[in-house]
Amino acid sequence: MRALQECMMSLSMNSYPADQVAKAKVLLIGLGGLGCPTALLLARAGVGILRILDDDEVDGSNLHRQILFDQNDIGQDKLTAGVRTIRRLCSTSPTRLEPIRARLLPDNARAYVQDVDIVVEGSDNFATKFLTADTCFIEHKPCVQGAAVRWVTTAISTSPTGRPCYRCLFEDLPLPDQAPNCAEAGVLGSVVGFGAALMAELTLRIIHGHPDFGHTYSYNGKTDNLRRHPVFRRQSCALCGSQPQIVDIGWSRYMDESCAP
Amino acid sequence: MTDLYSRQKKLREIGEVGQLKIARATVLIPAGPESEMATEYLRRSGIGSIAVDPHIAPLDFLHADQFQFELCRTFAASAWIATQNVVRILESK
Repeated sequence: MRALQECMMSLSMNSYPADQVAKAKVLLIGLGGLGCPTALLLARAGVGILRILDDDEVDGSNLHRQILFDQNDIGQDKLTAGVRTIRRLCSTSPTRLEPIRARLLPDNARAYVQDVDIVVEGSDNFATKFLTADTCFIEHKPCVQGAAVRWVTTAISTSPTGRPCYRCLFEDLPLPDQAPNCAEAGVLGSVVGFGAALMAELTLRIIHGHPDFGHTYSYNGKTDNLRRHPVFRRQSCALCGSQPQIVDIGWSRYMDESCAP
Repeated sequence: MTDLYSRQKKLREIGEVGQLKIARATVLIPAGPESEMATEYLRRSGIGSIAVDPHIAPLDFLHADQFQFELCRTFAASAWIATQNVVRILESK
């Protein structure tokens, strides 16, 4: 952990005017392989409020990618261990950390999203990803979403008004047998770290008023390719299309839990 | 005892054999703002030994132009260095 500490010391504070950053209220969903470095970078950048939602405990198999935790934290809840590490590494950061031990669910999603400026999601299951995307569109919030599996990590940011939105790209939850099972597929820890850097970058661009909405970034660690692709809006999109079918948040749409821990 | 490397061993390119290669590998990385975090990820991947060498030329981060914020660029460069070192180890005999 000493290396991590030295690293955070050597990462300079970003050189942009701090006022927008200090006012920003960010909701981070998931403190896992993507969430850990994203949280560290956003705290280091000095976002005003960083509210972190997670309800999981540290497992030994997490440690290769979840850099806020070490072997002493196994079995502890991620929020306690993670917030402790961020506070230690970012002791001069003005960021107010607000850990919330909860899972984003159809019942509480709108309330959590309503109360912030930007939503950043790095969860490990499609149900949460689609729930986040739908809630952000309905509540008119910009959203940054990341994913990582095997050698590939992706990140996308979407505007409060969509067009395009996450569903323009992915349409709907995959069937359980079509989605790679997160635990089975595996991932390289540092590939996840690259994805988190992309997520923090996209978040800071939104905060600074020059967002990169409607593009996906995709990095393949094995081929060392980083691609930025436009997402095209779909007229028939169920969320942001001309005749939307998703106008509220109901339980039935997010029942797929194939990748949940 | 939990297997700390189980999630990366699931990768077809790693497995038990690749993990053994990683465990036996020695990695030298150039000194710079990226070296600490690159070391962190490499250590967490189970690399046998890692040394930061001030005498090696700094690496030119291939994807630097995609990052406007220095702290994100530095972090991405760290993750990139760690990833490319693991790829190189797996490709070695």
